[in-house]
Amino acid sequence: MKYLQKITVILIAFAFLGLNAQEKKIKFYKGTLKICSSKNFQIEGYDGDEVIIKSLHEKKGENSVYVVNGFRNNGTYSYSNSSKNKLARVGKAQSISSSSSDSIVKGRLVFRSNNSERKKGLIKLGTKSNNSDLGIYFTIEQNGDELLFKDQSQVGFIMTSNESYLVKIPNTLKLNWKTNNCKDRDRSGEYRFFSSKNPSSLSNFDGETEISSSVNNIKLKDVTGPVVVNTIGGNVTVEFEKKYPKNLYSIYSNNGFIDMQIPNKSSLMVDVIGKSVYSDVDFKVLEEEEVNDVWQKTTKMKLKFGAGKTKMKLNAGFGEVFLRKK
Amino acid sequence: MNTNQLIKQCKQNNYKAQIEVYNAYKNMMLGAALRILKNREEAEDIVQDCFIKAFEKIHHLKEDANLGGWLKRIVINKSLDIARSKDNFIITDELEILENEPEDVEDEISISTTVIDIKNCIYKLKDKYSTVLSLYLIEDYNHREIGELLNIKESTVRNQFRRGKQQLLKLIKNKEL
Amino acid sequence: MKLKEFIHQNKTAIQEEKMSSKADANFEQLLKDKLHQPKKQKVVFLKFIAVAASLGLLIATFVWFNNQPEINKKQQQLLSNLENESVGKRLEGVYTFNDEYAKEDDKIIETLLSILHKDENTNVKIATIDALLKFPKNESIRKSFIKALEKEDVPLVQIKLIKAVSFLRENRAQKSLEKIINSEQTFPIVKNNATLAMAEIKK
Repeated sequence: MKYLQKITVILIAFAFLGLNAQEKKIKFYKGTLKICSSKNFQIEGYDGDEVIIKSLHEKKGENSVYVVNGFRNNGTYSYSNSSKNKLARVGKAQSISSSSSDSIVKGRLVFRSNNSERKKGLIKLGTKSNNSDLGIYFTIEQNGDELLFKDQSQVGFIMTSNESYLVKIPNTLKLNWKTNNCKDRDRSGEYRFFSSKNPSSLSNFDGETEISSSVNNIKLKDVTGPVVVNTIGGNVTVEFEKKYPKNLYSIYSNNGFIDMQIPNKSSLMVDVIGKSVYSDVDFKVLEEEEVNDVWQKTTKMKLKFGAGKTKMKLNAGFGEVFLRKK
Repeated sequence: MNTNQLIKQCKQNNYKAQIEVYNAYKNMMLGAALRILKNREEAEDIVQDCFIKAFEKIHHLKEDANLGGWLKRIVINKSLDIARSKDNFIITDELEILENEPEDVEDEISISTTVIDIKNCIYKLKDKYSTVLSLYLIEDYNHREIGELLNIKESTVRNQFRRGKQQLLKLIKNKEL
Repeated sequence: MKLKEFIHQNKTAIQEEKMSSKADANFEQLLKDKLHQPKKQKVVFLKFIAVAASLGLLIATFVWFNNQPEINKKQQQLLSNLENESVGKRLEGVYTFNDEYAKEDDKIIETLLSILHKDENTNVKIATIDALLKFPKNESIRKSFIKALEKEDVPLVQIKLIKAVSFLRENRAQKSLEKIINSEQTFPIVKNNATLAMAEIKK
């Protein structure tokens, strides 16, 4: 009897844990998952019919900290505000959007309000579901065959955030991931994005992938393709552990580097352009040219590996390209 | 005209500039082709064809590029293509197993050896050795670059070079006697 | 002394070869024949060319008719890829055009130009610009680049277009480049590229 009791307790505990796992499940396996967010996502493909989202960070309290950090020296600083009282808090922060050479500095006013009392017993209306109780701080919308994750509009900030999400998606979906808000600019001409230290990653996925980033770094692992990536200054790292590339890879970068593993079993025809190309792989160099990228010299090569079946078009612009043996 | 201006003029198909380029580099190109093809008439033809081809492609070249190096690459590639189509020029990585290790001949050249002796001995060598030796010792390519030109492994190049050098030293010694 | 040393010391002597004067004379003629065909000679040969041409035309027409279905098939395949919904397929189409087809085919160029202006995907647009750059003398392509420069707002595509007009030395693009440089909405890195391109074009 005691044994049975123990098991029951354990089972209940597991069930409880399951409930507390803070996962959001959406039945969606046909169509495109579109992500318009620069937050940190670790996306994994799997064979199933649901999109599963799990937040990997601690939940924020209601109206609590929004930490604003600047990356450039003068004028930007941390500003945090947690407001428990009922008055609207007004604070002033300077926002600087930056990557290596871009920077815009504008002053901004921030309004905070706290109406949690008034919200009791009411639900927010509208198709944009609010999942902040699960620690999910972006909106989720489903329109027919498109499932959309979108950053909530904020005033122009860069936020260093520790927000990180694990998303499992069915291999039957297409992925369209833009690390901006899906409009390249708003009316005031500002660019806003979040930044985190670890690269966002996509792994073990068999569907068609489109990724667009401005400065965020991306890591792809065991993604068979077709993969269409473009980035301005972000670095793209591609690894293959259990799978190897079967479909087109097209990567354009303005100055971020491209680092790709070449597994032994693959059959690739690689057209690569970059400041220089470094490799320890036994490629057959079919063509080699030094091209003028109008005002700088870059290397352009056509490399064959194995039978040369799958096309890879890697263009790192002014960045370097690394092609590694697995 | 200096090289930059020459390149610019050649891009505009200027006859005078083209002739000037020809005269400046023809002997260098002939040497490179001859060392691979070993037939003077054939080499002269190839060099001229390469010049024409170069003038047709020169719009790819940047004005401050190394014109001589570029031209040399073209003629060496073309000469190797032709040499490869002949039977006695086959270097593959598998050959390594079949060839015996030669005894080491001393790497010392006596004072009485003339330049002409050396040249003749190099020419006498089998094509596969003479090509690797001249590309390394005279054209100044390194082993890796030679491997790329001939489509063989760098280690194969080293071995062929070592054996070729041994053969050459033997021939020179015989001449001295 | 050692072999390497010897050769190094006597390098000039060892490398020395001389082109025969017969060969030099031959080259002057060769150069004239291949790259400097004066018009007078053409007129003289015209009669022979006319006969050969009409014969050739007959044969060519037959061959053309026979090949039409094959060329059409390839063209159709390309066109259908270029208009496909899937990004991967469109991109494959453009790359296939770049690598294998590369003919100045009006219908395909029309499709490519439409992709340049309307496609949603950045990579497809960039690959299309590469494809169109294969025909630098095509006037409608040049005009399209200038027009696209004014309308485009995706930074990577803007940079590619800027590089394209710089490569083509397209003077008429200066106005559009100026607009880009002066607009507040442009990314600084795009502005830099535009400024450099202006300098390059003005040379």
